[in-house]
Amino acid sequence: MVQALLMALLALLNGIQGPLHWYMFREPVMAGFWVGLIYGDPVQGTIIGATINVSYLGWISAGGANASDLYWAGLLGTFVAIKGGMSLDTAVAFAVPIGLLGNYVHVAYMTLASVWPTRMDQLAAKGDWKGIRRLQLMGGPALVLVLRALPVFLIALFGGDLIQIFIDALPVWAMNGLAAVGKLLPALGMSMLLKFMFKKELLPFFALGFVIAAYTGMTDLLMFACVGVCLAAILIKMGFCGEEKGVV
Amino acid sequence: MAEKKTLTKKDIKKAALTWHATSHLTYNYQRLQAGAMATVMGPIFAKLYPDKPEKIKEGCERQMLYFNTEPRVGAIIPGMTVALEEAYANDPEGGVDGNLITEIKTALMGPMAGIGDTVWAGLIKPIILSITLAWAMQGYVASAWLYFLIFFCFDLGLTYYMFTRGYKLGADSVDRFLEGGFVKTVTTAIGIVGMFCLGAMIVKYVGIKAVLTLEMTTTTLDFGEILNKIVPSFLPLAMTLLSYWMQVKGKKVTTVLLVLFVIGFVGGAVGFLG
Repeated sequence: MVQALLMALLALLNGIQGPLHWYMFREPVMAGFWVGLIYGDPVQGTIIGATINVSYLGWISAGGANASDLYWAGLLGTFVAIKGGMSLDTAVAFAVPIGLLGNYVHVAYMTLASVWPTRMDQLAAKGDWKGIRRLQLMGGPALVLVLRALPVFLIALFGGDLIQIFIDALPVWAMNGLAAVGKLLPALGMSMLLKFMFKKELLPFFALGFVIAAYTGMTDLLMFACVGVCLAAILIKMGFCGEEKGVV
Repeated sequence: MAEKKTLTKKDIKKAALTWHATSHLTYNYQRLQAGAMATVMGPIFAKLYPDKPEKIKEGCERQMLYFNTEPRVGAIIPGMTVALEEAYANDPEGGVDGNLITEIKTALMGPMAGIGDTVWAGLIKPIILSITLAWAMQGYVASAWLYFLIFFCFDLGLTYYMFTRGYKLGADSVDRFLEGGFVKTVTTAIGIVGMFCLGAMIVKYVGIKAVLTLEMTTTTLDFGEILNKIVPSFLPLAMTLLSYWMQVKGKKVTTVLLVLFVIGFVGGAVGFLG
């Protein structure tokens, strides 16, 4: 009960829209940490959250349009993985569909929150800027409380045992299938990033990064970032700047 | 107006922090960030028009119009709006009026969102996040908190800088910001780093392998091993490019996800993939 209540509180903090909440509670690696903390294993929670997070590296919300709900993939994905005692790969295979489900919640939120600007218009007509501010501060979080915290509370209260039973009932071949899905799904995150960053003239850098990592087996990303920064510094000094050369 | 109403440094600071904290709090399909804009401008209007409630009303209604941009780099727009509203309040006949303010905001929110999303969500975030994730996956909890610390400070700093810069430079600031090739150089530089790291990230994070083996009379033929010898990490690259290609062809991310799910599940269940 206490754990379910804490999960509900976490879901509220996880769903509120603001920089503090985005980085401290929404990002699956942090959501995983908090869920792990609630269920007594923050280290395992962080590992699960981080593994789920990889599939969401390319996550971007432009104009409020989501691909899959980052919020619940991390939060409930870690919950399900801890409750079901899953391997990391299987956890990812479960988290991403949960994210799809959570996406409906996001759409519901964005739609219902559309009531608030209409109310704000009435306040604006009275010049009540304090009222607008109050509504801006309270309106979104109030909806998050209903749409996200409440369902998560119920899932945490009743879902734990069901997950355990479900996982135990899965045959070996299905577990193998799910594990493979978990290893494959990060490709989606990578492809979304690729689509976002893609520029023809930058393709050689993509190839270079892949070839170095694939053939040498070195995958320390901090090293790659450092080499990349040096590459960029050298090339820009030499006048490489996309199609337009020598831009001052 | 006889008396000139100037905003203090403190007002601007407060407005910038308000924008940072509330830009998405009541985000919605109808008006997106309009409420945040009005929230930021409310106290500014109260200060500019201490004895003209008519003007406050007018201002609030003006700032409740549709607005949406990227919250960090795009913070230059609310910053600029404060400067414009101040100019308008002090000299209503001076060329700046309500319509102009709305027009400038509307014209700029798209381009700034484009630049902001590219720089933040497309480049800075994935690179730093993937580095901290690699550590977190090894069980370093501190790495998760490092992520939070870096991003929160970075977000706050960038938003604050862009907002105050927007205010200082006023209306022509964004033009100046967009001109001169500065943005182009920065995005190209980060693009190089991003694409270079992305190539390596595929090898690091996409763990799918072919595990098909064939029992021969004398030896065991391990197809996965052979494939890996010819092109290491072939499957991760192929699957990433397949997903990319489907998205370019206009398939929804949900569809791509489903396709990957089926490939992975079937492949894993029959023992080809692992």
